[in-house]
Amino acid sequence: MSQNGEESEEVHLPPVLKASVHDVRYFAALLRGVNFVNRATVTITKTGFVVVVEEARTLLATAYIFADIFDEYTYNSESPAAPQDSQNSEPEEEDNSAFEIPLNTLIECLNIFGTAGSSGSAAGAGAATGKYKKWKRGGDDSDQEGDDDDAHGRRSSNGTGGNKSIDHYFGNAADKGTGMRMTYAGSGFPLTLLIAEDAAGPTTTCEITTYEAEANLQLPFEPDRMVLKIILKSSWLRDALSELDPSCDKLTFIGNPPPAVINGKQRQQPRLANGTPMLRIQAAGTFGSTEMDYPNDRDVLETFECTRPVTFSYRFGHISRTLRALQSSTKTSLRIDDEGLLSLQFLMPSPKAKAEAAADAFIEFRCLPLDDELV
Amino acid sequence: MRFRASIENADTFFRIIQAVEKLQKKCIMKFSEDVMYIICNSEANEGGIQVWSQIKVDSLFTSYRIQSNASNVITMALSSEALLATLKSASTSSKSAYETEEIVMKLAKKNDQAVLSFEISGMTRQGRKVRVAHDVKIEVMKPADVANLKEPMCPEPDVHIILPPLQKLRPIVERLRPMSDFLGVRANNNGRLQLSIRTDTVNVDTEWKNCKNTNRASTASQDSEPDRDPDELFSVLVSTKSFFKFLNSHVVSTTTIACICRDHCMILYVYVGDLADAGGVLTFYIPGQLIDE
Amino acid sequence: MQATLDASALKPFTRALACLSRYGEDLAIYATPDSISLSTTNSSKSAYSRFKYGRQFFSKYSVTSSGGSHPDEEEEVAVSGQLLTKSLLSILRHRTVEKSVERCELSIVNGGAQDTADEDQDGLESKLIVRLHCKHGVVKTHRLLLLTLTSFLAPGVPDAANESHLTVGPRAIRDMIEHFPVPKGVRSDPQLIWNFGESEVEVKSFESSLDSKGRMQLSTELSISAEEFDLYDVYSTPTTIAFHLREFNATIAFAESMSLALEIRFTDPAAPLFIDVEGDNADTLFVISTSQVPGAPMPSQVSTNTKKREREETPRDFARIKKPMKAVQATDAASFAQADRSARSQSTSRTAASMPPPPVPDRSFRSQHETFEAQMTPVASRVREPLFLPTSSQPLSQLSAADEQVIRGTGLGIEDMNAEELAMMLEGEGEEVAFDTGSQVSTRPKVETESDADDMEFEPTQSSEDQARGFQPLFED
Repeated sequence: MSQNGEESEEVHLPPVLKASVHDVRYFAALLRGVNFVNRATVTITKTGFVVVVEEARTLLATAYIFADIFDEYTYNSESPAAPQDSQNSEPEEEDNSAFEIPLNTLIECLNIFGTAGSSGSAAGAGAATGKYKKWKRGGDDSDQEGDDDDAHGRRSSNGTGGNKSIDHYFGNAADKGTGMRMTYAGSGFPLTLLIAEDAAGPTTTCEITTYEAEANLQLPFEPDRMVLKIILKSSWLRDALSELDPSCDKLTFIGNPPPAVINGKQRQQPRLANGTPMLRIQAAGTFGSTEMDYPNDRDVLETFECTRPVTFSYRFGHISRTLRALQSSTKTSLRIDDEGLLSLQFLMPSPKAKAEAAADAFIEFRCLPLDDELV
Repeated sequence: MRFRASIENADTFFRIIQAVEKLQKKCIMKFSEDVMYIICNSEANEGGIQVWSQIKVDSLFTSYRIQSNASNVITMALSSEALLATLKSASTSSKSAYETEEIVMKLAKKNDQAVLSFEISGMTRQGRKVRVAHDVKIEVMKPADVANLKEPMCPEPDVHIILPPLQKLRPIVERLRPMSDFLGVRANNNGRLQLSIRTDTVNVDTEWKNCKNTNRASTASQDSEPDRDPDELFSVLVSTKSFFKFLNSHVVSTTTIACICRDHCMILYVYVGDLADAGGVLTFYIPGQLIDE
Repeated sequence: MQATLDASALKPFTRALACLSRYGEDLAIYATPDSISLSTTNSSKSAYSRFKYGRQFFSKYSVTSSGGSHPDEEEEVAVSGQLLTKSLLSILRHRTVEKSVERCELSIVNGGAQDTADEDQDGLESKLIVRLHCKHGVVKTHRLLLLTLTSFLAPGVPDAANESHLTVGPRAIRDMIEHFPVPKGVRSDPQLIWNFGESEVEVKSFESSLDSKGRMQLSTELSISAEEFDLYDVYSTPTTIAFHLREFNATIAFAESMSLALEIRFTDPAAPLFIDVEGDNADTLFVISTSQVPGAPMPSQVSTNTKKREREETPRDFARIKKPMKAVQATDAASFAQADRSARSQSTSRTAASMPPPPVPDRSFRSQHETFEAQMTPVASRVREPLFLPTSSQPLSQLSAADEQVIRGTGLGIEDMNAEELAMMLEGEGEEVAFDTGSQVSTRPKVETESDADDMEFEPTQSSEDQARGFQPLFED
């Protein structure tokens, strides 16, 4: 039963996707960031894959997972005639394979041993705590418990022959994570996962049914229509959203152009001279209202571009869907276009050292404004 | 009818009842001269799970005295919740700051009500004496009813295998529980153990290859069927929730032996304390489920 | 009103709110130029908690009159309002507050007030504005709707002459209480019976651990040396009182978080219990009503006692009830601060406790007031019970059908008596087990003990004659 993956590999055409990683936590964290609706569309390309989830034809969440977060990543086109040399930056337009999958099931399977950095129920095994594990850079000391379980054993047992040197795993050697090998044989086949903690322990094989992909909501964000752009530490937004009364149904972002630069220095005040804040997040609930004002201070708003006063409102229930992504994100880019379309991009730092040039993955949420706020 | 004992090992007693309480709010306790039996055999239990356990009197009690006309056996039904609360108060592992000096358990009658009375004497943080007494209401069972308590019948198991630590199994079954109501358990006489679920959306199989089969099983198979293939897998389908309830005994387990009677049931022996010393064993019986696959 | 808390003052303030939220849902705020008082009363009016912070607790504090008032009469400059405790607590208790907030400004703006040009003045509603000044100049402003404080509930003043005083550390008292199992369920609120003797304190479970069907399965008793109390001055030993744990535990948790001792005062059984947690920065007062224990201190009566609170409504309870003692009583704004003071200071000097009834300005207020009155009138010991307790003119119709049947079954003809008559009839008598036994007949599980079993320690306990025997005392009268 556990040989299914291998067999199909040998008997049939090479699988559309073969990917493996010695520690699934980063992968799981990216998936968890968009796990608010169970059905997700997965699109596989040769540079990585995208996971898209939508809600109420209003909110669209996309996790961009690049090939280099895996130790091994091989994509074989299902349609050999498709052009392989496309340099288009939009992955959607490349040669790809798409399917739908029950996302929560995939995440639960990755966390079968309770060591994929669960954010949900505390696992009995002890390695996973009830708290969301923060990602660490490869060189950081690990806060994971567990004994020395070396990456060698895990990798060879999983049969993952990546091209990369083994040395860069030593930084994470004390991390007791879950290793994974994933294969997708093509349309009509399940997504197969082979999961193990270490050579001595058990192995789990999961076959997750895939479904035909349906067209997703398209919410294109055109940079030339952008009226507000803010880059801030994710913790500011995370704290703001978590402090709001859950009974709030509406959340408003208000941006005002920064004051003119006087004598080469900007005023670092939450409110401008006339009492208008730079960025205000406003919400109203059953028992009252809340406003949060942010000054144009580099420690708070790293980038602040605003061409004209902006006020747009969104359903709080939709915006709070970002909290799981915010948990493991470091930086957030918030953009709003002239019709109020909101784009939130969350940088999800890769656990690998910068030296490896592994691009940080990111998660993007796009959300339509509430109608009554349309200008 | 007289019964009195000092509880020497309140922490173990507490953890045993902790596992039992999660299964059934009321349990039957049968005290004989050497053994304390705990029985949970309600037919309403999740997936038909039952517990028939035996704890050696010496491993929990000292100054143990029992007397009754029914061969010095006393059988009672009582609230496992109430018993757990009592033992929590007596146990040093609870956060109580009192240092327990002595715990006396005895049968008594208060206001025409039979009770199992626990008298705890201890010291406060300041070193002053403190006494706590708990009376757990009991129903003393008639010998005729006691005689009717019958362990479930099952054939000679096809395989005996030592399970991985229960706290390792627990997170796995915790993930599987919301996915499927039924859990397939398979094992062979060559150290292989598998837990599987099959649903429309996902199939999940977890396999261990290096478990130990116990001697009992291997000698039995050699005697009766010497040419039986040790790699043959024997499987049984059980309720996922009931298997998870059994895993609650991880708080007390040291070694657990699982026996599979193919397509019939599984029996799990959870040893309390050292296997060699065998202070006691909680025996879980989980009947097999029949569904169309 | 404007009050500013710095980061170090915010912590105890939040702990106080956490404690208040475990007492009652609604928080009453009453600010004078000298101090601000936060108080709450639980839904059954059987427990009251108040924290009073003097102006020096705040880094800035001012109360200004909102209308054309006379600044020399301080009562008139008072600002008050009411809101859900949790709505304020959830803002201040948020995990991000401790690490990022540098200063917290609380202000109350009155609806329709015209005296500021601030943007906060919008609309006609009064608001409590919580402004959190965080690191890097981030400012978070929460506006909470403030309701008009319609009733001023103030603690009743105990009769100081026969007052008992206890001082005990929070850990020591928690160690005692922890041995009493807490029944599962959010609403569970067990009651403990405390018997203060010459040198020993005995604590017993009142209702004990109930199983899922509401039957009592466990009774617990703890006895400890009175020396565990740092101060043990009981007016007359033994004194037995009973009270619920929910609010008491809230006070213990607060005292423990502040590393402060609890100073407990009480008088008669059935009169409220007062607790002070004396600290540097706040003046605290906790009042918890107590129950008279039927037949105290006989443990047998206790362990077979009633299975539900309604069952406590048996006539014997009224037979002994003395003058009503309330945990709180309605008063008016003018005497509110006064009442606070007298309640605080009464342990040293008895002030004449004048608590005039509140003015009745309009009909809606009156009906509200009447509700409070209705809640207050019954004896303090029963304030958690349904509000429609039989008073002396009411027949015993509130008894459950089962109880009534039992009473009728006695053939005493008491079913048509009112409580007063019954009280007279029962006067001077010991505890009436009969009602309990009667009401327990249906609930007691069948204990099938062998009748020939052994040493006769366990005869058959349930049979028809047994029920009859249970009624014996009443028949014999």
